[in-house]
Amino acid sequence: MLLVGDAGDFALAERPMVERLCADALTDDDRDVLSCEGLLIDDGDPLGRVAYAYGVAERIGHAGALDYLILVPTLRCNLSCSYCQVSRVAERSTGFDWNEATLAAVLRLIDGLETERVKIEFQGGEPTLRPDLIRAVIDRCERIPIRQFVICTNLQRIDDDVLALFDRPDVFISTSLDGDAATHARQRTGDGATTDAFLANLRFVLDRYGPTKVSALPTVDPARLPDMDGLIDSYAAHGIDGVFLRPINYQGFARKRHAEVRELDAAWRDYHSAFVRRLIERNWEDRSRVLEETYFSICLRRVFQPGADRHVDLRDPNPVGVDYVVVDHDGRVYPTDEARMLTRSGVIDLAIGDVFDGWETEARDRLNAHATNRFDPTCMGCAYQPFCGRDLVDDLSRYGRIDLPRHETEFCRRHLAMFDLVFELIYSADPAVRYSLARWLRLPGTPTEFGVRLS
Amino acid sequence: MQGEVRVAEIGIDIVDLPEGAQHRLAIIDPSIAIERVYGGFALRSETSTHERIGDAWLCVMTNERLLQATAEARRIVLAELLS
Repeated sequence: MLLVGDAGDFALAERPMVERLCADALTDDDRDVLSCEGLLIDDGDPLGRVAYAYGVAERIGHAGALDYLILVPTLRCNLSCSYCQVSRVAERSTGFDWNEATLAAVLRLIDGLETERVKIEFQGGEPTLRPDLIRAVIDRCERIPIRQFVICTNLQRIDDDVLALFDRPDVFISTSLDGDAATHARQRTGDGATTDAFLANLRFVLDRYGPTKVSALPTVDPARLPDMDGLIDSYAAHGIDGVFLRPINYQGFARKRHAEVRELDAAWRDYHSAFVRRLIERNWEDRSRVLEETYFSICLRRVFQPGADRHVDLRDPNPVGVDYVVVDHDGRVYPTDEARMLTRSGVIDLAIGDVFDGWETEARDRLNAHATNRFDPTCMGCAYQPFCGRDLVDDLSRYGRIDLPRHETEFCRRHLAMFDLVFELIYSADPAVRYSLARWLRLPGTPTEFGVRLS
Repeated sequence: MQGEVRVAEIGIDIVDLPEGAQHRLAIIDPSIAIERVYGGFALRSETSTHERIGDAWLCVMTNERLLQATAEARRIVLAELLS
């Protein structure tokens, strides 16, 4: 049975020890080993108390100054995917790009950033339809020492202006690759010629820049789960080792056209688990490269490396409108990209302000009053609480409320299954498993064990 | 035998089963059904073994005891860290 402390220390215990723990009848030896693993603090142990408080503090997410912006310079797009999460508008529509006043306000926002580093993600619509706006933002960030820009693009068209942006060393490319050409055509492009154009452009940017500058994500339809090796091969063939297995998001057009994805069922979780195991097998068979499922790796690192990851969908507390915001095509500010999608779907208005007057608003404060799982009665009894997070917007999206018992939410079920898998693999004796876990944790070697067993 | 459903069951000799404990049991093993019976409760599952039901119940009881025993100390530390 797994024992986990508030600070995320953990160990596997045999039933007799747990029975003694339950009966408040621990032996001196029990107390010694549990103390040694950080799972018990004796009354006369002030150092242990400080270590405990420090460990808990390490686990608590720290939202610093604003340094991560998701910018939507246009809502227009040259594709029309059935599960488009933002309900994009047609390429020739008008009134869906930043106007001069919005651009000026965004540039003022950048001027006011009090940080040594910034990450800006350009979302859409298709942001490369407005390379001039992207260029203006990037130029304005020159004063900030450490800069990273990610252009999230469907790579359907690359003209000279866009190529000049891609050529910058501080610009990275994020795109979608749903699997083989037939799957990509069915889910996104609609025809072979458009798919061929995308694949040619993907090959072009990979050849020009290499895989470290280009990332891709598949959107997976849980009702038509793809062949695992086919999906992996479609990434590996492009030299991309990371696959973020992402089910259709219950947002935008997908709410109407793929309503079944509100609740992901056991079939999805089984698929994800089998996918991770397949990657482990392939990594063991061919050690010249390390394939990984990105979200599993994020969860794994949440166990071993508190604070090392800044994945804002999985942290606790998870305050909104503090260290990252989304600025939409009309200048409205949202706490997350999903909140923008939800508002655009007409479900609930989750804007917390706008780029003209700011977002230190009552709306933001009301959301942030519920930004932690630390005092949730269900989470407090969950072994995975130190590693898990809180996502108000996900709950609002699926249920229209944030007060369901946690274990009745998709967020909880998904992460329970995820951390069940994480700990099953942590305690696996299979050398192939340990090899992949070590690589996914970015360790130089492979430990003989990842978790302690108490007798 | 085809069509036969085997149900594993353990009896719990307690008067009241707190809602929190029921939630935790559902999280640890959703296949376990709780039924009030004379003298306590019965925990039944069509897919889990008798041993696994017992392990799940032990986890729930241990959790309950530890949560109660450490509630005030945890609250103080968290309140300080989150303030």
